[in-house]
Amino acid sequence: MRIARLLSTAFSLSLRQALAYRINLFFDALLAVVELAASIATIGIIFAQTGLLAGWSAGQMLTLIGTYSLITGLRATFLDPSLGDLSQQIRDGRLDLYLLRPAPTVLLATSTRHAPLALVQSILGIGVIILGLRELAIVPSPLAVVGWALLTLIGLLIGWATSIGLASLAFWAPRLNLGVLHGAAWEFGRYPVDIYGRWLRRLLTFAFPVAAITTWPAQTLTQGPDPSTQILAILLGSAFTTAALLLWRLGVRRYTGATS
Amino acid sequence: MRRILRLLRLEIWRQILGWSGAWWFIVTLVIGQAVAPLLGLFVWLQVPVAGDQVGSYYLAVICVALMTASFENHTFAQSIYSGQVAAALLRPQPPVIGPLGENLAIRLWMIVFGAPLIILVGLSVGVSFSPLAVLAAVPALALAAALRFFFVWTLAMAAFWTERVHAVVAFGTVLIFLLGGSAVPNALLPDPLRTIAQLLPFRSMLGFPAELAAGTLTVADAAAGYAISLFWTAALGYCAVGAWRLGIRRYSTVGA
Repeated sequence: MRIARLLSTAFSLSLRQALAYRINLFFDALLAVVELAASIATIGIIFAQTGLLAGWSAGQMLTLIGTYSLITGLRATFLDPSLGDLSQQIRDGRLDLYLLRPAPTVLLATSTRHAPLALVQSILGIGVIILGLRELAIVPSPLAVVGWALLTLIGLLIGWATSIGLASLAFWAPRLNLGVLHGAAWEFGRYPVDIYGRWLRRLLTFAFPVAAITTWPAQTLTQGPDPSTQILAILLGSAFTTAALLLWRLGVRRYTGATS
Repeated sequence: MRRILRLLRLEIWRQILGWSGAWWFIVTLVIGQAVAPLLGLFVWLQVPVAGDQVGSYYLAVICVALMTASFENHTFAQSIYSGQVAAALLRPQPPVIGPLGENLAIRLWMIVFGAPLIILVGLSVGVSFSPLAVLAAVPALALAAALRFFFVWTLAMAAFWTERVHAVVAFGTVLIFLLGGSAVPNALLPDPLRTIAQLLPFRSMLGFPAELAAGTLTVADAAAGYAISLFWTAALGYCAVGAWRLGIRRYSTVGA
């Protein structure tokens, strides 16, 4: 409860700061619209040439693009502002500030700076999901919606865990910044993992589980929940979170302040 | 002219040395540039109407993307924000030498670090290029490199007026992605979008040299493409000069 209050206070502060710059809000909203429109246009052009893309119909693809946009927006809002310069903070010793505060360090260091304007992308994503469901002419069952929401949260958790894991490497290799690499791998979530070759598909399911981040939630919403997928997603989410927290704790033990 | 070329060569060498320590960062830049065409490759390999040459086309797109990448919104725009551009104004040389030298040095490093990726994709997809087609694409590649630099540099000069230069350049990047041949090869765009894309500058920055290298264009299409590339290179060159003159009048260095 205390953590929820802390996060909501941080969000409220960030929101007030962001609303002071209205032109920035306009730019961010416009950019989110243009990027999403480009994604939808690409899907439209692909499906003008083919009926199915690796077994996915246009409506299913729109649901996937919407889910991707929703999760990416949430990540950009709640995680990226803190994670963007985490390795830099470890390098120059600013992590000291979080270590001294009476709250979980990992949470303070990775989730307390927010970019509320990026939520525009998530809101647009929900719109695209609705568009996809209309294209498919289906109303998902409550169980499918719950399954989709659960998988979306797990996707966000995996995004958080992988980002922390990569940023934690800065405790050992201060100049190593794998943020761009993470962003590039994240881009693979724009399409279902079925379009990639066998080895890449396995990599994107178990090593960097893009499948759990966008493919499985979209599949659940359009085809109904599959218990084995849900269990696998929960296991992957738990494994990645545990591994990331472990790596973080090992890294913090190694950390020696501004001189580390 | 010889003096300018010598200054440019020195600047490129200085920047090559300066960037030589940032090899890991350059690897991330390579991956960042290659992701969109790679995704396009995976998607269009699944679509039978895309044809046999789609693999060669997208490999060429990756090469063009690495050889024409421009990051003036990070390099040049930051020098406007930090006031460092003032130092360039005092030097007895054209101010474009600094950003151009850095641009070319980064591209050289990206080609070096991108080579393993290009080889890997080439071996995985199974590509075929005719030497004549590749030769025909070389001038188009040079025009694409100039065009992309003028385009991004002009957009980066938005830093004279706004703090949202990354958003401005991101708009341009989206247009290159959609109409330039990264998301969809130009031949697969539906009409009239295909004609519009052929007339706009974005295809000349990315897709046109790749189409020439993959050998998917007729002689007439190639000639028309070259005419359009030349026109846009001149037009965007003038735009860049105009934006610089307007921007520098507004610029009042740090603290003003």
